[in-house]
This record gives sequence, structure tokens and C-alpha cells, in this order.
Amino acid sequence: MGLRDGVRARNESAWLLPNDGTRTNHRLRRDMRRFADGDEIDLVIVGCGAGGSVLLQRLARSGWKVAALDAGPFWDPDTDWVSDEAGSHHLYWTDPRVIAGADPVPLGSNNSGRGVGGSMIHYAGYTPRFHPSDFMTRTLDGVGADWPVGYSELRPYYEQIEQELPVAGERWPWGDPHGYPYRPHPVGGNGEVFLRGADKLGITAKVGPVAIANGRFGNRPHCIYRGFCLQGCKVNAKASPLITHVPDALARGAEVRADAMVTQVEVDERTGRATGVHYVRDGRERFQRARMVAVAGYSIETPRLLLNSSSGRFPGGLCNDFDQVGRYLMVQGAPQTAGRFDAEVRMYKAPPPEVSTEEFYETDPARDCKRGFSVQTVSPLPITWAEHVAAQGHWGTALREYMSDYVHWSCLGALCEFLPLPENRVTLADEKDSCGLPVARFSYSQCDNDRALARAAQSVMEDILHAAGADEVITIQRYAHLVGGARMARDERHGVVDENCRSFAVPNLYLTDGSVLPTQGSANPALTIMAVAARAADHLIAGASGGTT
Amino acid sequence: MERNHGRAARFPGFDALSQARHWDQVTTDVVTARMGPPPALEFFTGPEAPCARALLNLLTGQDEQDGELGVPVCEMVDARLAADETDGWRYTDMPEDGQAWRDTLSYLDADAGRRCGTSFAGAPGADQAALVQAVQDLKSADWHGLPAARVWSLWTRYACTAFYAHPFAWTEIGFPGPAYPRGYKNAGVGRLEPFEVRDARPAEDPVKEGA
Repeated sequence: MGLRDGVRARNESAWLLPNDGTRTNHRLRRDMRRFADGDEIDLVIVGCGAGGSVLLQRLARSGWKVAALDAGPFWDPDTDWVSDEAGSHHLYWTDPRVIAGADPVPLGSNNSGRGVGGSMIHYAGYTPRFHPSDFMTRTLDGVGADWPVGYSELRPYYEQIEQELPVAGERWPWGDPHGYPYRPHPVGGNGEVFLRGADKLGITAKVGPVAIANGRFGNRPHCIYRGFCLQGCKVNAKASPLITHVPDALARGAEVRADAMVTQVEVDERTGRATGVHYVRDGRERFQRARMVAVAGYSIETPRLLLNSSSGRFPGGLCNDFDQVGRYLMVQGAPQTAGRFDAEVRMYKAPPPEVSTEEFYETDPARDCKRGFSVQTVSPLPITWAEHVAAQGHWGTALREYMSDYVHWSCLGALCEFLPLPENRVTLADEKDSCGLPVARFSYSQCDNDRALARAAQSVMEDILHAAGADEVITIQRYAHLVGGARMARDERHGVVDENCRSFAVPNLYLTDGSVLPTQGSANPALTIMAVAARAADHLIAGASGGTT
Repeated sequence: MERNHGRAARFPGFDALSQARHWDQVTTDVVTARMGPPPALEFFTGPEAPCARALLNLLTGQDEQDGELGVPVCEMVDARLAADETDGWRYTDMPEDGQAWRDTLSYLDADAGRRCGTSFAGAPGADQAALVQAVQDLKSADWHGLPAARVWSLWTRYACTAFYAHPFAWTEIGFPGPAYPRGYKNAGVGRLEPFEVRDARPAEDPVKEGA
């Protein structure tokens, strides 16, 4: 009880949602404060996802006049979301983008969200912390980069956010060992297979960590284990900023301006300071004045917005004096290996995020590569499963027959720490979007270390599934998550922002999303993005810069 | 391999739609819209239409001659392309999805003309299969100026997304479909909900047979 009261005192979101079986507090949205474009508000935030929403909520609590503009809709889970795969296409960012390089990365459904809540609307719900080693891979392993901030400085923010989401899981033995506010969920067939196989091999695997309360949390109901986490949680059980931070922000006087596509950050040529953002809403071009600007559009749109905000002072793109914008964009290698059992697993009958192991997270001298990987249950629904089966080369009648075997399969996914490389980057393409702005071109190529990690991860997943009794295993190579693209660094020659997420080039411009991460570990990034944003918020609240420097 | 192997008979009596009364209204509206009479084609025009229909039915194992109750994959893909509902990216060496569909259908007709002197849709079934298999076999090599593997990915992605969105397909694979607000109570290996039906031939693993 003490814990929940403590959370409620600093973030009342879960108690501001309705408890009558509906999911949205319409009155809170209707009565929301609305600033005029001409008001010079304290801070305008671009993007209302993991990073933007946390910043919004923290600053609203501190009395700042703050608004978050989001390109997508202000979702209502009751009317906008369905318990159906194909019908959830509108949750993804599907504006045109070009992918290139030796190993191009598909975007859209895989890693790009749309609307208030961002990609956390359709993420699986895994919320592991980064390991302390992730903040100093250059020093420890001679690869990647050292962060200008260490794990210990982020730890209190991890703890805060884990309570606010809240996170359920077993006591976590890896990285910096820690517990979770909620007990682990019961597992379904897929989790059971993973635990059995890992146990046979002497690999430690644990239930969690998932941002789904095991029990009621405020007015949020218990999970119903329907398996559609990736289609948006109609239950309000799985955490996303739409229900974990936005309600409290609105109640404290923040504005969320949905369907507002920001097209440019304006910088005063004389003072060198940001003065607000240009945006398009209802087909009209508008300008919101602000004393400070924070961009939180994630790893593709944040660099794209900076590059599209060129000016006399910044001819190569805002904050791009040293050609750092868009670079070091990372994706995790995410091979997905499935095993076939005569028994029926029916992996769709539980949240896809159930069980993980971080046994292989750190550099292992016995492997021929640096850094490591994690393994998690993934439990694809039929359309995504068909992609896995079709990747084996089957089509037509053969595809149908393989697919009819769906209930017998268990599926694991790895997250491999692919390394940050300067040429993996966002630039502007020649083609334009509906606002007339150049779209992003994302070029990506793997290095030898990446390929070695993906092979090692596949082999571990095959071993686990065989040990659990699988007679056949099949693998599809894929990617997961995005981070980097405007990373934090010690100086402006190596990154775009400092340890507090403040841009080196413009003193009142912040980036508060996944794009600032210098490394990615083998952890799903949502929790770390929120923690980094919460830390940046404390820095702003403390007035270290306060827009006055 | 015997006829109907792996088809509906695998889950005797199971029907994903039988649970529709337990679905929420918004989901019900979205899913039942797929069950109605398919809309007229809007995106595919002229010779593209029969070519797309033949290709998509072939890729999803739907033989129009055997009278099987089919999934209107061609109409579903057409509706997506007409609405420009792409996946949110294109490869730098491929046109955007709509144009890529138009181009590749015309290449398929050209290949059929060379092989059989007919359009793709007019070619005998075995020739259609051989023409499609030839594209897959090229892997990442060039096919009419496009990387064949990316053409293959485009075709199968759209085909599978449409086919496995349909309740007929869910019934075929034993998947109950939407699960809100009811959820599941009996998760775990070998455990069923009252409305789920056990696989009648659990040991028949197509992977082993196909190997």
C-alpha cells in the first residue's frame, strides 16, 4: 500500500482513468488547458511517446506551461483499437520512408508508432533495465561508446518509472540486481516451454519484466491474457504513456495537441535560440511560440526534423555543425527461432512478453565477438507467424499446411546488441511527404560482430527449444527497436546533446527520446528512454539552465 | 500427400466465427466487414486484375476450380493499395508499393507470354506455379531490373497479411481470433478453453514431412 500511495502522490494517472469498464477519461481531455499559438509557453515538446510524455508530466507537475504536439491521434482504446492484427495497422507510423544499405531495416509495424503514446502503444511490454556495462562499452570492451552519464545516475529514475508503469517480474539477478514492484505473472504455453528448456540446460530464465500490473493498479484492471499486446491494450492493463503519464499531465495543466505534425524548429538567427515550432494541423500551417523546445520524435523523425530545420546559421541541418545528426542509429538483431512440439502450445494465449534470460548479455570471452544478447518469448499472432513460415520459402498449399500447425509452435526472440556505427544513419531523401518535406532515408549495414552475435543467439534459442523437446526449429532473421541517431556525448564533436539531453548547438533545445542513447544493450529500450527523459526533466526543473543561459 | 491434408479437418467442428458474440463491437465491425461480399476492384486495372487474382490465389494455396470457400485475397490487397496503406517504408531499389505491384504484375504477364504465349492468368496452373517458383529461385538476383527477393517479399507480405486476417484462415489453423473482452483462462501447454478444439492429427508435422 505504501508503494502505491507513494506513486499516486507523484503521478496520479492510473487513478484518473475511469473505473466503469471504459478506458478513457473524456472529461479530462475535454477540459484540457489549451494554449494559443501566440502564447510564449515555457516548453513545447515534439512527440508524445515514451520520452515526450514523461517530460510533459514532470514539468506540468512543476507548474511549467507546457504542451506536447503529436503528429498522430489522441487514442481512445475503446473506439480506436481492435482485438485484431490487420485492423491495427493505423497504430504504426506509415508515412513514406526509404530504407537502404547492405542490410536495410524495415520500419512501420516493427518499430515505429503513431499517435499519443508513441511506439509504446504497440510494444510488447518488456521493460528491462540496461546493465551498468551498457554505459561504458568503449572502456570495457573497446566497442561502441561510453555514455557521458553512468548507470548509477539513472538508477533512481529506473526505480521511479518501474513503480509508475508499474512493472511485474521475478527478482532480477542480472546487471544491477533488483526487484520489481509487482509479482510475476503466471505463464502460458510459450513461457512454460522456455522455462523448461532453459532449466534442462542450466540457463537461468526469469518471468518478466513486463509493464503489466499483476493485479489492479489504480483504476486500471487486471490483464485478461488475451495475447494482443502488440495491437494496443484495450484493457488498460499494459502500460503506455497514454495511460501512465498523459492523464496526470492533463490534470496538472499540460496540453496535448494531437494531429499536429511539426515541420520545423525555428531558431532566431541573432540570438541562436529556439523560439518555437512550425506545425501543420487541419491542413493549416501554424507556429507555436515557446521559451524552450524539446524534440522527442524517436530515432527516425527526430533526426529528420533537425535536418529539415536548416537555416542560415545551420545550413546542414539544426545542431549538425559536426555532421553528427542522424548517425549511430542502432537496431537490435532480433533473430526469431520457433520450435515444434506434438503437444499444443497455443502461444497466443498469454501476453507475448513472458519470460527472458540475460545470461548472455555481457561479453563472453568464449565467443568470437563483443557484447551479447538476451532471449525472450515473443508469441506471434497468425499474420506475423505467417511471415516467419513464409521466410522458410513456403508458399501456396505448402504454406497453408505449415500454418495449420500453428498451435504446436513455441517462439523465442533474441535481442542482439548490434554496434553503433557512424554510417548507419538517417539522411533526407529526394521524395517528399504530404507536407512537402523530404522524407527520411535510413541506411543500415551490419558489421562482423553483429553477424557473429546473431549466429550465437540463434544457436542458444535452438538449444533451448530442443532441450524443451522440440523436434524441429525454424528461424527468421529480423530486427527490433530503434535507438540513437542524435546521441548524447561529452562534446559536440561526438554527439548532438549533453548528458542532460540539452543540444550543444542551441542552449534552449533538448532532445528527450530514444535518439539520444549512445548504446542499446540487449534490452528493450522503452524503460531507459523514459528514465532518461525523467532525468532530463529533473535537470530542467532544477533550473540548471531554465532557458536563461 | 492426400487432399485436404492440414485443412479444416484438422480441428473438427472448430469455427472461429462461432465466438463472434463474445467480441467487442468495434472489433466485430472490423472483422465482419471482411466476411461480406468483396468490394469491386479499385486499384488493379486492365490486365493487372486477372494477373493479381491468379498470383494471390496461387500464393495462398486457393484453387478457384475446386469450389472451396475462398478468402478474397485479391480484393483485400486491392483495397489496401487503393488506400495507399503501405507498411511505411520501401527499399531504395524498389518503387513504392503500388507502383511495384503494377510493374511486377506486368513482368509476370511478360514471362507468361514468353513461356506459354498467354497472359499469366491464362496460363495452365503448372506453368503459373513454375513462373512464380522461378522468381523465388532467383533469390536476390535481378528480375526485370528488380531484386527478386524484394519482389518476393512484397508479394508474400501482402498476400499473407490479407489471408491470415480472415476468419476462414483462423478456423483452418485452430486460432479463435479476437479475444476482447473475454480473454483466456486456460493458458499452458496442452490446455484448452471450452471453445477451442484439439488438433485431430497432432503428430503430423508438416516440417518433418516436407523435409
